[in-house]
Amino acid sequence: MQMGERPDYFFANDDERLSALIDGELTPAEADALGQRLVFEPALARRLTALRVAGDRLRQVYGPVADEPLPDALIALLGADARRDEARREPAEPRVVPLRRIAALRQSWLPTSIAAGVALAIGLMLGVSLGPSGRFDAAPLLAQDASIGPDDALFEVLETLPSGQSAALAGGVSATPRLTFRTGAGAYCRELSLTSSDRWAALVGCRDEAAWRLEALIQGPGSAGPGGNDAFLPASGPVTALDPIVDALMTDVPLGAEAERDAMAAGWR
Amino acid sequence: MLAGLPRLRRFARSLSGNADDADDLMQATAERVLTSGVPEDVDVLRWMFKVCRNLYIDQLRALDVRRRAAERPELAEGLVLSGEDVAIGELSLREVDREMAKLSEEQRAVITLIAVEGLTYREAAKVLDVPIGTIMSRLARARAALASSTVNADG
Repeated sequence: MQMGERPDYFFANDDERLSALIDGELTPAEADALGQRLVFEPALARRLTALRVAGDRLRQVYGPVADEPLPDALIALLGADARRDEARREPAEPRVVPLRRIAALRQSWLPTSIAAGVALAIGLMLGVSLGPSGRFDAAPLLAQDASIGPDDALFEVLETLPSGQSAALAGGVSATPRLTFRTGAGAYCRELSLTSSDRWAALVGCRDEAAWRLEALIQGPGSAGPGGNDAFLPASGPVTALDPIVDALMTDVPLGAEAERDAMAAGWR
Repeated sequence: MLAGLPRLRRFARSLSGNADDADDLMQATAERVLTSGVPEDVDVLRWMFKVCRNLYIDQLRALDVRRRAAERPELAEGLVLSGEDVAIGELSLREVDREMAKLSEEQRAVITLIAVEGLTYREAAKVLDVPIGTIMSRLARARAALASSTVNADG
């Protein structure tokens, strides 16, 4: 990557920032600042996805053009040697850079974001009483290292509740696993949404040895609608906002119901 | 040079918006590079992108390619294609050609070099002879324009 190679640049708008993020051309400081914003601004995260998809689609559609055989006239122009080379030619190189770059970015900024108070945010949302320090005392939900272990209220939900089903927690909070997927390293991750009478949140947790490590969390205010949990999540709210994180982690498609049951039965190993 | 031709062709395709013009452009570029050569210490592929793009601009100036493309019946709706696989690939290619045609030539060149060919901003700035800041703003506008076309098309 060529970080730091770029001269200073005054960004005119967020599209320019997001575009440079997609191409891995932000400086570490710029990437960190934008990463923090992405966690808390669903609209910005949606925009990132839209811009990234535009480039991905172009690459996907134009990509195969480079694999088509060259026209005879051109081969003739270059001579007989060319014909032999053409037969030996390697397929055009694939390019998967954007996802990898976003994954790298995720590693660089998420731990900071979590340490900077998302644990506090979820504690507040769920009405968990905070200690005098006001920071990491949301123990019933999140341990200090931002992972969800056996002592945390959400552990049982992530361990045993199939995607699409909801569980009622203390304080009028409802928790619903949304999907389950695997990372390139084979770890299981789950996206979970949480709702109460006036807040929503969504998180992505990945299972390590004994706990669900929090990869991302986003939350905001919202009032309950008449139609149940989904009704008061913003139309393309937290789940969409977490898309870039899920995209970065997920190498295949989400697990189906049966695969999810099997993984659960095997203790997520 | 031969090794770079498939990617040159792809670049030509994204600039010109159709396969025939792309092949003409690729051929013209190959001839030019063969006769004029490549400066020392310059990457052959990057140089071919540069020559190709300059030739394309010359063409644009010589004849109104845009108008000509608009008059091409095969770029309009209502393609008849046989074979479902071919149809799907071919149709999305045409669709993207059409979306790209709405961009300026500068935006097409920059987004192809970066999003498709994987050049860095610095490399693209050299190929196109513009400052990196210009690359960044053009690229963002190109992505935004394509994003809005995609939303409309899908939805």
